[in-house]
Amino acid sequence: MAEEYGKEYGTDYIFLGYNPDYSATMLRMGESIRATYPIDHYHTNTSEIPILQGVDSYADIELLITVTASALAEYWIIWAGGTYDQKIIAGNTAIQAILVYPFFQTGQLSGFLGGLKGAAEYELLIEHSDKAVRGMDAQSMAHLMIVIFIIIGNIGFMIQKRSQKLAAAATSGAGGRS
Amino acid sequence: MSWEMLGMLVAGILTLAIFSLLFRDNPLYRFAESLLVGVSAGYYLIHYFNASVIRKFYIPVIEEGDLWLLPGGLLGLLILFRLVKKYQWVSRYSIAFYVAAWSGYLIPSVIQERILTQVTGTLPAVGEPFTWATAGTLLLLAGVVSILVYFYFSAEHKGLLGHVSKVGITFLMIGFGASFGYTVMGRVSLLIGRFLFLFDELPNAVRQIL
Repeated sequence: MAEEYGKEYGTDYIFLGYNPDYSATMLRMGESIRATYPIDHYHTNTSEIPILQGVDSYADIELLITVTASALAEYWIIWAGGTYDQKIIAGNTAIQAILVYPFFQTGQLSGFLGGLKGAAEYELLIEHSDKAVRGMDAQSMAHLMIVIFIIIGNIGFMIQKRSQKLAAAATSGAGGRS
Repeated sequence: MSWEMLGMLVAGILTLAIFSLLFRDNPLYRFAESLLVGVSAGYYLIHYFNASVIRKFYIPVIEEGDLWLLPGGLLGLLILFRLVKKYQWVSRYSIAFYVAAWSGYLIPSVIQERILTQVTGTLPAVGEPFTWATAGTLLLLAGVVSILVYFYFSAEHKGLLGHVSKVGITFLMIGFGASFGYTVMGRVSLLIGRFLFLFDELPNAVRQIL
């Protein structure tokens, strides 16, 4: 992707790697990114990497973007947003979206992409239709199918309940006659 | 054939092996499942060891001589006493330190961000012109209050309390429905991702190999 957009490692982007204990990492990044990550993923000293010259905490970052399949967006909101007043936008899988939407509603998140639907909306917004827009057709069909199954299931449940009621009434009626 | 192509072929075979469960349980599926569990466990073990013990302890303490990290490392080592039944109590010092430190950090922040700010967002702005957003906030407020009433068990749900609690359960059901819908979307997205891989990326890779 870097090649596609003509970006260079260390100058335009950096991969800091994984740090254990995300809460501590997020908190410490508010004080110093270079202290939190003394070396990047490729074991290069972060104090020597050009992109981090003059950028060492949330105060030097205009916008924090988190794309995650877990509840991490919530922790960015608590630690970076709450403690350091960092502006945050998030992209989450659909399963987590329902938990993250309230933070968008309160303004704790400045923007939010919820699941495949959010991704498709974003692709349309930037006029670059790709996998998410393609996936939405299948997604809509799958949802329609599930709604139909739910309706069939409910009709079956009601019929079963009604027939059980009728059977019970017939049994009690027969018992009364004997 | 490059390693990337080989990886894609293996991924394709393993995806089909996992899908074979839809037909019936079989040795191929079990192999793929066990492989996933084993590889994941092995990967995370090495990943965490490297990220925490090597990068956060060995390099700074041994190579760079930062001895301030020694007490933290010692507390980490004490956790291993959980494995020795007679000395399990020793590990409690580390756990107590960790829980106490994080409680101090977490409690005020979580109360602020998850409770107070959320409560503020539930309340409609006073004195501003009435818009659709105000109507939405009022609806949200009605939902929150009625759901709280539904979970209020100190009085019997009769009369007004009963009616409000019924409104509360309706809001809850709408919430669960939305949550279910998003869960379905998440699962279907994963399936779509796999199909895109099987019918789009994999054939392209195979064509390149051939």
